Amino acid sequence: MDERLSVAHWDGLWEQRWDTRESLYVGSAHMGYWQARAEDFSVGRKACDYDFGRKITEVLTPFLPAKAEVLDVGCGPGSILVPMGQAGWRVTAVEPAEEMIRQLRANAELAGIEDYTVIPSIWQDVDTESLNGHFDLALSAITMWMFRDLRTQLERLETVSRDLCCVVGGAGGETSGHSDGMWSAIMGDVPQPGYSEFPLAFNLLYAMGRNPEVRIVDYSTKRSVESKIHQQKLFYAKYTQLTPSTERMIEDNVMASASDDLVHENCKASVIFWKSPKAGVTN
Amino acid sequence: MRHTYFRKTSKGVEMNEADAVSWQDRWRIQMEDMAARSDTQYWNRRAEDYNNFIVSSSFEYGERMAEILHSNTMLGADSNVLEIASGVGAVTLPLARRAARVTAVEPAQSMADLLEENASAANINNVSPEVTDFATFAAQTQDNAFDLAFLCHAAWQFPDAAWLIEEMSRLSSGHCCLADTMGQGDPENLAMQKKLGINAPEVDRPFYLYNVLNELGRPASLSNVSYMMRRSEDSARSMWTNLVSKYRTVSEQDTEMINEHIATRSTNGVYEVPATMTMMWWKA
Repeated sequence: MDERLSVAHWDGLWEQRWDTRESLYVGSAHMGYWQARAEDFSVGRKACDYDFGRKITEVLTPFLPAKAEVLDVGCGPGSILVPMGQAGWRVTAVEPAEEMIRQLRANAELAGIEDYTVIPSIWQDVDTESLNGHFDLALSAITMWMFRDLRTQLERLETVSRDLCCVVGGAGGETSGHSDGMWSAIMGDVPQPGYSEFPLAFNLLYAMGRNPEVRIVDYSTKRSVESKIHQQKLFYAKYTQLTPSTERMIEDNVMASASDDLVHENCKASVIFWKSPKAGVTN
Repeated sequence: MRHTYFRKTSKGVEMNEADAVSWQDRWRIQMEDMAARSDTQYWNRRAEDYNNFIVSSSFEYGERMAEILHSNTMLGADSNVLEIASGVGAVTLPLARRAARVTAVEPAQSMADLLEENASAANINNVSPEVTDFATFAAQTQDNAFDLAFLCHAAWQFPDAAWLIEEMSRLSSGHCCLADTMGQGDPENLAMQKKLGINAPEVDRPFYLYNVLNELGRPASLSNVSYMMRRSEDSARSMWTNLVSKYRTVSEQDTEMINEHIATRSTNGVYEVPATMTMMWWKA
């Protein structure tokens, strides 16, 4: 048996990477981090008319019914809820950070979306048995990296879906979104921890005997220099005590990449989707 | 670019040993022997039985793959397509029906002859066979000469997968697509190989190629096409006999085992095996 086709191999690598990253945190990296990130995250996702969520919606549209029931785990400020709501799908959003939920409600209202539900909780605390087979699509976009037990959380997505499951991750390498050289400038020789769901989640699903499909999508973000600096400082504050000189370094780097006081970024995401083992089974 | 995963130890941070060997190196180790045993002479011998499989299967997987390329806007009426190792035209003809032109690179003359026959029988006249190996063809071809570079079921002829992927990317201005049979083969097939004492690599080729692509910084989209491989009993006999001949002289006992195996998997003279083809595509 090829070890790379064993579930234990990918489970082990995922957990090891998670442990390494957690061991490097010195600042607020969990709920407090996302509360603080809510506003800039919302700005980034809304930019370019929710390009990120819209591309994911386009990929999944041919595989879903017109009025699909969707579970969006870690919905953030509505990155996906807004375009999916506009596509006529009904979204149940799981989100623990109050500030994110506040942004989500404001964004949904602005987009004219009223028919959605928010479960204000961390995903691990959601009772999946009570939602057994309830959704046409159970999706998690750039959220799975936060969970140590990836396999368990993938199986929980499968529990609540009667058809499709989907995990979206970055596709620009292990350090997707933070590979501009700033890590080594600030952190020196400390190896930059990985967090992209891709390709590890794909490999794990494959080893689990699923036949996942993947679409790589390009999307754009646009945000003010101020918003980007805020985001970068919070990111590095997870790993080090920021000094005036590192703060200045971050500011200079962001300003150098801006034009017309805006930072434009072209990104890649992987949309990994597969049939829940429940698909086609009557509950 | 090579992905590595790090761990903290008493000596600091070390790379995980499990990932010390790249996907490319693993592919090379597994495929060198297989490629050496399947030379152009081998495929000249296999041309007829392979053609029987493609025609008996009504070009099924080729049609479905061409449709996926078309619906994902990689293939259109103006497309100038390169197909590497086109064989007898399993995908070439479905591609040609949806494209302006297909240049079909195929080193085995017998395969190329059958491709021309199949194209002619289907009234397809926009296929240009090039009877040569891909390395020779690539060396004489300019960058961005095609809109789509495609290779199906032949990546194992290229132990240097990175070279293949980079050359495909160089020759296409649009997209590239690799396709291969998913999984480690069907269990009955593997059991038969073991019974015959054949120690062919059991590597799951698409899974490896997919990770090689990512390792090269070319994350790819992926789709699966399930189909039924159909061929006459004679064609199946030829396939199995030729497979054994790659490893040793075929004995009477081998022939007996092959006949018995074919009889158990055939209905009304047709040998059927379910299979899935995985397509992986990326922007060049």
